[in-house]
Amino acid sequence: MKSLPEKRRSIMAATSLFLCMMLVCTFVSRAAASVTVPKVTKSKPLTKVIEHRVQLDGNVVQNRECAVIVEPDLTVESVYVSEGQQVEVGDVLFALDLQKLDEAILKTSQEIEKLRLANEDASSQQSITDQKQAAALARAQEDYDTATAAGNQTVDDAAQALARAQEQLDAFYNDAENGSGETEREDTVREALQADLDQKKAQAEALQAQWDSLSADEKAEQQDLENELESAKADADAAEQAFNQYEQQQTSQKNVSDSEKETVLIEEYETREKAYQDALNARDANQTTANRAAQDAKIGTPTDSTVQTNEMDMKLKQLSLDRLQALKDQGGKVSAQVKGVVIKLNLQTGGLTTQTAAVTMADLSSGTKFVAPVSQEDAKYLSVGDTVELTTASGGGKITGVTISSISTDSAGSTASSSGAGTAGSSGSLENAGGAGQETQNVTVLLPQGELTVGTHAKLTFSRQSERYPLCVPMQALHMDQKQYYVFVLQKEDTVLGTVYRARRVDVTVAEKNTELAALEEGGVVEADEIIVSADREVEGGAAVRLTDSKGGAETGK
Amino acid sequence: MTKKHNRQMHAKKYIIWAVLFAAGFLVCYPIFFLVIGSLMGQVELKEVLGPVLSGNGGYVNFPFMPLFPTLRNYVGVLMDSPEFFVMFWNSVKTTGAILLGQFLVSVPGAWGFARYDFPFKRMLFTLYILLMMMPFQVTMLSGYLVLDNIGLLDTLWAVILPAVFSTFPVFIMYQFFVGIPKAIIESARIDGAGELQIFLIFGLRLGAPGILSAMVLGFLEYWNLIEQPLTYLKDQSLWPLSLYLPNISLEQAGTAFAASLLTLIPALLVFLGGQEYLEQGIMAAAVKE
Repeated sequence: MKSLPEKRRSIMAATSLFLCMMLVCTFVSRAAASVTVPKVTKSKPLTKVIEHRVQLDGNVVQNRECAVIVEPDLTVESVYVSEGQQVEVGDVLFALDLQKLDEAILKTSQEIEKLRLANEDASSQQSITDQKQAAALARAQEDYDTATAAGNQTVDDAAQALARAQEQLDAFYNDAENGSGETEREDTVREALQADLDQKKAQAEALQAQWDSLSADEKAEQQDLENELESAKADADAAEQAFNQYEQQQTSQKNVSDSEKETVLIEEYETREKAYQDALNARDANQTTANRAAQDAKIGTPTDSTVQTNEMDMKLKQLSLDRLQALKDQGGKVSAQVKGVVIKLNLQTGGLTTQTAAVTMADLSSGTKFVAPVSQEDAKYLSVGDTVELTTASGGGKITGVTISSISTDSAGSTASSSGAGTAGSSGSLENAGGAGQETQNVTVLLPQGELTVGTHAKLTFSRQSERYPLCVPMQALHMDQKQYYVFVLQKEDTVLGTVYRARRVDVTVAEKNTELAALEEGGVVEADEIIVSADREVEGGAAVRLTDSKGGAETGK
Repeated sequence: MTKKHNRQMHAKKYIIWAVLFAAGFLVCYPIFFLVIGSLMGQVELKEVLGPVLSGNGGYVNFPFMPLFPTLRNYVGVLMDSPEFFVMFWNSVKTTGAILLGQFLVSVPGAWGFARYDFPFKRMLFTLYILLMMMPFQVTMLSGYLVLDNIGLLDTLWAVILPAVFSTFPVFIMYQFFVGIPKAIIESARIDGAGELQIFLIFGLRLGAPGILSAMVLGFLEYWNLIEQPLTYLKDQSLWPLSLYLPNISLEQAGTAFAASLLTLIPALLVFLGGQEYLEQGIMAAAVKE
């Protein structure tokens, strides 16, 4: 065990060592903290005006264009200008092949002639058709009349025959009812037969009586009586038969002659009746046929507009012919009608002209305009009528006081601004079709006469000042996190180390901003807040920060 | 007979040893726990202390050795947190000032009580004892009002001054001063020493154990002061080390252990340094003339 002084010494040594170590660690920990804590600069929100400067690069283009059009399918002999060349009024642009031109003229006139002939054919055809139709109609009418007359005649004849037959039949029936004297003649024969019959009958009967009076045994003996009886019966029968036969014959003869007559008459009547009916039917049929023929003849012919069509075609071809003729008169040379610059040549030497414009020219006489593409964002700050400034890239000078005449979405050069050469300060047309969803739009500024030539590059500058915003912070102070803007506000906090600053994240909404300033809306920060503008390392919400030395040094306590 | 007696003696010794060892282990276990915990990483601590601190039931199963020992907690406390050191030096300042004040105030007081008689001495002494026995909470409110009136609130003096005039060291030193034999003092007086000389030469030297033991006890008390700073100090930059982590959450467990251990070291050193004085003092107090 150590002695007291030694032990005391060692304890003192240990204690002082400990205290030294703590001292060292104090400095080390503060040094470490100063490295990790971000140094920031601060500022309060200020009342400022946000200025939006828009700078656009664009070109000067012609205000108007014109097109030179010639008939298609003509051969180009030579082209005298090239793209970008300036031409005066009357300068020859290109020449057409005269031979081909003549051929074209000939072809066109021939086509016109063909159409004319076709028209004549068509009209003659039409008249003949008409005549045929009239004739058919007349004939049909005649047929009808004929059919009617003949038919009527037949019908009348048949009617007469029928009437006669009817008469005969009636007469026959009348005779039959009134009785007959012809039957007396046959009576003698009939009487003779009758007498014969009676006689034989009596004989038979007598024999019969005789036979009946005999007894059975006697009947067997009297064989020849039986035979006599038999023969007598037979004779009687025969006589009866003959009588009946004769009667029948007479009757049937009478009937036959009657019925024959009747039949004949009836047949004749029926025949006549049938003939009459047939005549009627025939007449009606013929009439109907003739009627139908007439009706058919009355139906007209379909319309044929070939003539009109051809006439229209002829008109067009005539116009074309006139143009070709005019070209011929010019000698096949096409010259410029206005002073301008050739923009586009749609011709090839030796090729054919097309339906589209052969030469597109910029019309210099109508002035120039400046066109620049502008992005959707910048376009927000521009509106029609704003006064802008143009500077040429080559340092030619500034043009001030010109205004925007239109902001549109279609391609450069084709906006229809109607105000011609704008004088300084005039406002242009109100065509402000900013298409939503389009990325770039075009800003057009009409230039005063004679200012800049076509093709010059120039810069448009415009600055617009917004209203005064009470809470403006530098853009550096604004941060974004998934579409939400926020700033860091300095907050003093009492900690063990004294008064330290903490960065507190405050979500804000931006009313307006440009590249330097952002105007914040109320509700996020207030005017008294101190906002962290810049930091030497990334600041997180809630982290401790300190001010940079130039602003008064670190304010951490001991 | 001696052998048996010897054996009995040995056995007794061992039994006593065992009991003392057990008691000692129980007392030391929290420190052991601290040391192990301060070397554990956060994940492991979360796993081990989860049942206690996160409120899900279960029992803590604290291992004897960390699975993945790390010095991260110490680095975190010593290198990365300036607050710790601010508080550390606050504690050092406070405790140092208090002890110095107590030395200047209590020692003469105790000497006076011990060696001199004056009217109302008994009453005053009884008052002193009464005050010594009163807990802080009783005088907290009145103390607050007085300090506020004086204007010392929110300064370190609010903690230092009441402690300086504490009556406890007086009492302890009184015991020691009383133990100094009258004869020496008398002889010194006869030799012509003045009261101050007697006090300075005899009192301080002979009562040194008492003074030092009072200082040690005082250090241990004032190094761990919690209530006074919490009540009287609003400014966090004045807080002592004992208030470094008033709330220990699961995330801060490792740091808390390391900080606690570092807080323990000065107290340990002081105690080790002043231990023999304590022993001496106790022994001396037992010896009565």
